[in-house]
Amino acid sequence: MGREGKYIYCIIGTEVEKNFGPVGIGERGAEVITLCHRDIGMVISNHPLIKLVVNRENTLAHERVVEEVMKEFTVLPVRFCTIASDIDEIKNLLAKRYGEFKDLLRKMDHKIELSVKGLWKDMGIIYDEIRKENLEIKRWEDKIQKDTGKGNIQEKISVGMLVEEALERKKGKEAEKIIEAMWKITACYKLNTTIGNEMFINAAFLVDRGREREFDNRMDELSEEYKERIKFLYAGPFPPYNFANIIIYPEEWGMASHPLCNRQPMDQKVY
Amino acid sequence: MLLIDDILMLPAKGLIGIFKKIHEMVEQELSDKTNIQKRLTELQLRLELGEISEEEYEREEKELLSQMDDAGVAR
Repeated sequence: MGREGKYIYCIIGTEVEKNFGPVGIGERGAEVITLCHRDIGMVISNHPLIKLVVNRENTLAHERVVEEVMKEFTVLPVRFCTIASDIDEIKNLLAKRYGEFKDLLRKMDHKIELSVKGLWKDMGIIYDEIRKENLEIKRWEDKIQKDTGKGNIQEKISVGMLVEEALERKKGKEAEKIIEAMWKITACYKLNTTIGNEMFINAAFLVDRGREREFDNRMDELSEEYKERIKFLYAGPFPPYNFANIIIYPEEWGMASHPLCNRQPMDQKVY
Repeated sequence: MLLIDDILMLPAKGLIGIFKKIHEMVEQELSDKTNIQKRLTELQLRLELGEISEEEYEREEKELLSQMDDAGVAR
């Protein structure tokens, strides 16, 4: 068992210390409470100062707490596995970054994040379109199909690259159509890396809570309009992970004496 | 030179086949860490798409995380 620390979930605007119940990360069911400085507070629970495994179980436990708090407050999520040594470290940090957190809380006020992924249902159709849209690719393909020899490897590789580039361009164009349909009802959006060849858009939208229904309806319309072509994965509301994910580096605590695990950033948010 | 041999066998499949093969080659070039993280992301997507169950997800995740440990890669 490591030394006891304070696991941090998120930052909220409140001057009243609050208890969210025994829902903390880890097996002990630690009480989740707020620790305030002026009118902002960090939502924390007791947890040993150890590195947590980045698996679904742990990240979901973290996210569940943030989502519970979000029912009542505007939240600034803090990156998974950020653990302070003690209360003083947290109060010092809140004092030091007070202006930044207040400003972000204002920007995120009454906002939620909605996630939209779009995947092509039939890649055969997409590759056919690529052939039609790129005559150079079509010509090369005809040539290669006639060529049963073992020559021209470099040529074939560079033409394969052309297909990859054409697919990326196509993804971009199709993503633009979706953004075009949604941007008027969003405050902000962010395009994340797509996964695999089928996915052409992986977007996070920051939306005013009051416009969530409108966004839902627009997504329904898009799903209907493109039902033969696109499968949408639409999820939320989430805390604004893509727009206000707070990162705290060990040196900021003022005491670099504990084994903080968030020194190594996750390259991407898996969960 | 297995990969080159694979490509040599491809002409009948056309450009899209070559493209897919190149895609695989690029993936094999990725570092262990990047590759495992990528597979974790794909696993999450398959769960979201309903292609695998929570149990299958957890089993595969455990396997990938243990591969990460074996590779001596810090998470």
